[in-house]
Amino acid sequence: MQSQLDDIKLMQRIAARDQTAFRALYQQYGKAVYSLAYRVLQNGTLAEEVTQDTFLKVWQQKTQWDPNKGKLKNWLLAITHFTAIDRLRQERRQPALYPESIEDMEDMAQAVATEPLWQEGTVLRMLVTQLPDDMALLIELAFFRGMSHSEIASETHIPLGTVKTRLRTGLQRLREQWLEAVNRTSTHP
Amino acid sequence: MSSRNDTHAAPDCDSVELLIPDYAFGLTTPEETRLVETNLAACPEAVAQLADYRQLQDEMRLSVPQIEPSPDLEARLMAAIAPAAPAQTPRRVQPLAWLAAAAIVALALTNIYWLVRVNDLTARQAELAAQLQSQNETAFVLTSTNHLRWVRLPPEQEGGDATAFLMWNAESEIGLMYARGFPQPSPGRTYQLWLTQGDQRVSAGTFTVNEEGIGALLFHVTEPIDEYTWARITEEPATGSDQPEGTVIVHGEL
Repeated sequence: MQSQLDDIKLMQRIAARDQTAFRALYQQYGKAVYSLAYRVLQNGTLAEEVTQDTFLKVWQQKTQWDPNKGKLKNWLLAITHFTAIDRLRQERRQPALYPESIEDMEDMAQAVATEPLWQEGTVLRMLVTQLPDDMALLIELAFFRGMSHSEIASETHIPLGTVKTRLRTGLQRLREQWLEAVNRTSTHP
Repeated sequence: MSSRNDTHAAPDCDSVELLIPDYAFGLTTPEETRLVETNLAACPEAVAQLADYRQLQDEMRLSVPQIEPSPDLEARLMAAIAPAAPAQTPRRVQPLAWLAAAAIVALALTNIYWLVRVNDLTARQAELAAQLQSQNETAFVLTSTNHLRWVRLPPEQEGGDATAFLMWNAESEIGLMYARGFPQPSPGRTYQLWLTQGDQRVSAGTFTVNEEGIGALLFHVTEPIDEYTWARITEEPATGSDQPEGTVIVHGEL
């Protein structure tokens, strides 16, 4: 696994225009970046464009990673997320509400069942599945599709006030469950 | 649940905390955002909750199912940062046969281009006569080079008939687009060609198609076309758009 020190060295080499380091950055994080872009855009071509745009922003130093503020991977994924949401708004086409096929969902369930507990994001996936379906859907639309309250209300035909309440409750519940899971794991490694 | 400061103009930390989930996820109104940002520093519990939500968002981004990108994405990305290293990118490899094929395609496209132009512009012959000299020179720039490139832009819609070819001189800012199989644009709409450079999308001009769905565009952009990585054609208002907003008809990598 890439350490924070490795990442700092890698980014220093990239700042010095080292193409080999840039390739290494892509090889290390390209799959995660593409996967998140695909999750937002539900389109392989657009996801590849966003992946390319994300890495080019790094190469062109349009934004800089501060190691004191978090992991390189989290920073890269935040850039990816914002870039993908921007692209989604430009394209002005929202993917289907339930884009994943049954096979994909089965694969995901299988992956959740077999991955080590603290493999990245796995616990959170499990926690989301424990939320009521409507709350999970609202969180999905707000976070991964970048929709506002009113856009969600329009998309789901749920009254605006109900959307606000359910979404807030869902996020609070998710946070509480996540903190509980984190504490439980740190107590019982 | 909140940490109130009761000694001076106490911020309403309860209200701030209530807004933190929405604020963290970019769902607050401008007024709500102002309320949070004005009072946040004085509400430690809200600060702590916000940090939790930021970490939660990191986890959510990590939680998406992992999918392998196409194997050639890495090569395209490396090509995008190394425009001066032609040997490293597949499209810059120029064996003799490739050059010959490209030249034939160039000539064919140029002929088709002029046929379309002549058919479409019979009503504008006088104007065409004035433009002909410069257009001939442009076509000469395209066809007389040893650095000719071309690419096919496939239809965005699976199974669609629309397709387009882009042809350009690697060393110049001039290119030729030939479209075929395009549907008639909606009334008041036209087609617009866009080139992508980094995260910028640049308009290369608008064009229409004839009854057979054929159209062509000689275009000129400010940077050498090799600097661009993607091209797309969208349907836009007849006056053209500043940024692509309409339906994508064809789309592909340069």
